[in-house]
Amino acid sequence: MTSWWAATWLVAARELRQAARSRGLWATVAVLFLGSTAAMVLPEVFSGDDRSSYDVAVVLDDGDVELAALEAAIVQIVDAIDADVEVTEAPDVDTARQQVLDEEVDVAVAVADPPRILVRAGTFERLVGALRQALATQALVDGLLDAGLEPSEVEALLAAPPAEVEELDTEAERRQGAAFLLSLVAYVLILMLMVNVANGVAVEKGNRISEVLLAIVRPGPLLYGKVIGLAIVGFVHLAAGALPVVVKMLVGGDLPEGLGGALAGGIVWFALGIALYLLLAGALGALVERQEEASSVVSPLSLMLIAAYFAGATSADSPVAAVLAYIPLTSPMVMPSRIAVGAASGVDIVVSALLSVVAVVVAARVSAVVYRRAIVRTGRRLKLREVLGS
Amino acid sequence: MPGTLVARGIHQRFGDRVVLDGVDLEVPPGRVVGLLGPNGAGKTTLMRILFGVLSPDAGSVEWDGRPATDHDRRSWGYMPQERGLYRDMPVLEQLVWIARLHGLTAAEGEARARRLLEQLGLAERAKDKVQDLSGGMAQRVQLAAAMVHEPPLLVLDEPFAGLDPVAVAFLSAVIREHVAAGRNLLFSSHQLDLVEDLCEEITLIDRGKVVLSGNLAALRAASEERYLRVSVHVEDDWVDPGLAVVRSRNAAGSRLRLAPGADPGAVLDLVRAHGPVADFGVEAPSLSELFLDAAGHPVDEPGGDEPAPGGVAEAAR
Repeated sequence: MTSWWAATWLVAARELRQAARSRGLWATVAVLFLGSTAAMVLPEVFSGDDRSSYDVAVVLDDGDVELAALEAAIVQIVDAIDADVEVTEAPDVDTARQQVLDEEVDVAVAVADPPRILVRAGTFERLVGALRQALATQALVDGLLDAGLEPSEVEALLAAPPAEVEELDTEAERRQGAAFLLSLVAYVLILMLMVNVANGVAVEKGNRISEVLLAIVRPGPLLYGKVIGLAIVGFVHLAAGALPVVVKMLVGGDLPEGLGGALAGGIVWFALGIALYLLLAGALGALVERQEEASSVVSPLSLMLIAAYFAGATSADSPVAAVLAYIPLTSPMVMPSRIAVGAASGVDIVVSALLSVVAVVVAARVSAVVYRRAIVRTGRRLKLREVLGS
Repeated sequence: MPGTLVARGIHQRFGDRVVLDGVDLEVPPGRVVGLLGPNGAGKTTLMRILFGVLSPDAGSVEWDGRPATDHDRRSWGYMPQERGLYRDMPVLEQLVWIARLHGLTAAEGEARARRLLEQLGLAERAKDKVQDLSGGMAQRVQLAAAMVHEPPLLVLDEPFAGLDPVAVAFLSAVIREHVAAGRNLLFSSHQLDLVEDLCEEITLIDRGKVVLSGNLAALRAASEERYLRVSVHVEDDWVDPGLAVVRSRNAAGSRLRLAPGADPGAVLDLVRAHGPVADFGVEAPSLSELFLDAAGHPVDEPGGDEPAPGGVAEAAR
């Protein structure tokens, strides 16, 4: 006879081998990997407005203004928003307009009276702001010089560095977005694997494979092996999605601060959630013996999961979510979002995690009892109450 | 008893229904033992109890003279009535996996599985999925799954159900070979005529109770009943009921149960008065006739309040 663990592992390994044969599995792994890779790489390629280097074309209509002076003003101001700027001269406004439309330059400045800034709609707001400030400064300088101040005096006036812009809490939103994506993936995976477990158990019961196996191994390894095997399948999916993020983190790509913590939290609760939901799904699957019945028998769990997911995704910092973050069946969906938005304290996290671990242990025991009793009662769909009561 | 499987006083009820009511069973080594009776008699439940899949309300299962342990049970081989294999798993891989569950190494398991597939004429199909095999082949794979770890005790639940005559002969040969090596074998059947020549020891069970058990040849010899077999279709009114009663008719002829002390020759003469008889014999009761005498109803006509054959095979707890 094999040991309990050896039997459990053999059952899990069979699930893995069967899963590896399924094209659907590889397709979802590929989708997750490619989707995540795209999410990591595309922002670097099309980094949009918040670039660190800009191209600006200048049209000098006003004979009084010197390119060098304007360029110096622009560089100084743009430097205040932590960016470099390349200034080129365009012969006339029409050429500059075309350069902007062709994206040869980001913004064009026509120095006239009044000066004009040409920019494609909805782009480079920060740069436009900086350029307006540069033009205003230039106008001020011209005015002061016209009023008779010495250039050195004007220079002294302008020596005070421009106000620097300190952006606060831009990271929170991105972190929340990452947590949102993570819980979406966790939600879809748990839902999919839950149906998989229930389905597998029901088919084994229906085909009487369980009867052959129960004559060889105890019910525990049959249930736990299946749960472990499919949980590993879940982690393979998660890893496919997380790998590009980790790679980007390692090469020092631009990622929201604290994303690592949110990811780690997400993975811990994913593990807890998958253990809890798959164990319960295995027990429920033993109540039925047809594939069609398997997804309906786990529907209470699916509904719970959906509700928890929406609570976490839409209002992670609400009082309701604060309560749900403690309840083991909902915490796997809610807690990672709360960590990401900074609504969970260290105590919250530890207590919630401990409650979840206790719930997994209890679920493992209860599910094994239900499974053991229900798997040999064939012929009709069973009710949970009659199985627990018998 | 060394090397013997013994079940004593097995009681099992599901809800209000008593499925087994004090059943005793003995499976000595080297003998083909048949657990026989109609559908719903409790055969499958008893087998599940032997394997610990169900815990009986009362009674014990002993192996080798002591209570059977989990360890003992894992060493046995079981082929359930309703076939149980992963349909989407290749044949060889499935057998090796089951061998490993029994505690064999992957290499041992593969060697034995290949040998068994060779023996069962399935070597060519080792890489095929079970769902791509014919019913008869899948049945042989099922048998291989029960035997891949070379069990000392093989238990087959209704192994002959739905088999064609060639497959029946093949399976019978496998069964005889198993016991010829001094190992134990128990199988169940409700088709008594089909397994008549295979059984050495029988336990007849009806409505959860053993109605007759022992060595089949000895039981037949000990029976007072005698039957006259004739190769013609005999009508009820041909023979005085005080002498003999027609018990069965089929294409091969009729069987008449002789009244105690009746002269077979006189009965034969009465039949011959209606036409020529090419073949006849005076015989001990057949297996189904033994059942009829012991249970009070034919094996294919459930007596009393039995659930319909093939109905709910429920097994609580």
